[in-house]
Amino acid sequence: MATLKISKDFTEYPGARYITDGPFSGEAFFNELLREKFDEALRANVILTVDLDDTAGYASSFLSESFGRLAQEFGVDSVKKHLKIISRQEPDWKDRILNDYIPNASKRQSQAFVNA
Amino acid sequence: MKARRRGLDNIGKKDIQNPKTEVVVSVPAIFSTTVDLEQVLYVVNKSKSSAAKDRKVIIDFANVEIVNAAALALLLSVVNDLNTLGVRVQCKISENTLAKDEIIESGFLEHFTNHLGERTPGKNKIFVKGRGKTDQKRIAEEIRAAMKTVYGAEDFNQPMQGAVVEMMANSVNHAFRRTFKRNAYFINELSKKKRWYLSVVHNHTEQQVYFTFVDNGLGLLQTIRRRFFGRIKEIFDDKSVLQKAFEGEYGSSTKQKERGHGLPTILSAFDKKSLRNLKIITNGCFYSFENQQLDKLTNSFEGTAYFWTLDKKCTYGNT
Repeated sequence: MATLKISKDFTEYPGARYITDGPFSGEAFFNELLREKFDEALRANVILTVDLDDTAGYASSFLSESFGRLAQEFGVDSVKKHLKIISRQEPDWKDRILNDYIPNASKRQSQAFVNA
Repeated sequence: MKARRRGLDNIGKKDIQNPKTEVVVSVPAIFSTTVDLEQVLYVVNKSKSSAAKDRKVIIDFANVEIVNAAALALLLSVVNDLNTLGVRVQCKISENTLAKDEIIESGFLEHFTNHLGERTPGKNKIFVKGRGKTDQKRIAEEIRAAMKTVYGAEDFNQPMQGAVVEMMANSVNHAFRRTFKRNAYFINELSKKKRWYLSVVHNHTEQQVYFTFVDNGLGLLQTIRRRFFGRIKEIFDDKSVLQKAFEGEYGSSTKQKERGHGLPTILSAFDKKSLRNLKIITNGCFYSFENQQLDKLTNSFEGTAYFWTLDKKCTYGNT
């Protein structure tokens, strides 16, 4: 099992959605860390555990951007199979990631495809 | 905070000394959002409308008897924005000003220099300025300090932090668009800077901390109407529009289902009791989340201002 603790491996102070919004955005987290770690976990056929605890707090845009992109790039089923979220301090973040940001990211992708 | 609709004839008549180069904004005796919000907004609007190149604005506090932190924070945001636009702003206060001590303690005067180039320090030095970017580390430091004032130990308050990051992101991404309406020069020039402000005032005796977050953009209500045009059925019902926006009913302007959770995150921090007494002023509306009451304002506020309190009645996020 691989682990990624955001407060230690990325920042204690997560920001908003895009790199242009400011430092430590969801987009930066995905580009710099999450994509690579998940890819490694996928190749090794292990589960990547992402621990959200011990940061200052999250904006929804940070979480939806990083985990939404993950699902877009690797597919919803693959992410559901190889990702575990820990969020003891704010359990609703885990719910939102697993029940909203990840499953709805695929809808966005197929919607974009249909529109194209 | 009930907006008192008092006649405004008593202020402003003699304000303009030399309209081309110098404008005097007289602050009324009662300058408090909790006692007379209309008067505060009158001063704020008058200051905004003074924005012009090579102009000097004098804010005259000589007659002020009552002030509160939120009113000073609103005015200070405009002072900073005027400075950004190259307008010189001076503050006039006398020994006889009854609210002098409160004004000094608030840290308001630290943003001005006297004729010797000196600044007057106050107990509350906290006024965070954002310049087109989020600054969540600085926000977290202020929240930790606030937690210490209330609970005796520094700690994160995650729901509140998330809410403030959403406020900053909204200011940076959506609040500033070009307009032809009121205060157009002020807003259009600021749209290049996208500034936001957070004021944090500690009351150590009462173990309370008062927060004010402001941007002087178009205003949240107007921004929602622009972004979700076509999806808003309650065209004339400001209260419904605000409530539905904070409940996430309009979703995202990109129509992507997993987006559009920014305003609900702010509401969630309030619902979790991680902060309390949450209020918003925007585009002629004053809305209290506590009693879900919306008051229409005579003096509109182009921009978005949130106010909230952290104290021991907040029961979440304070482990």
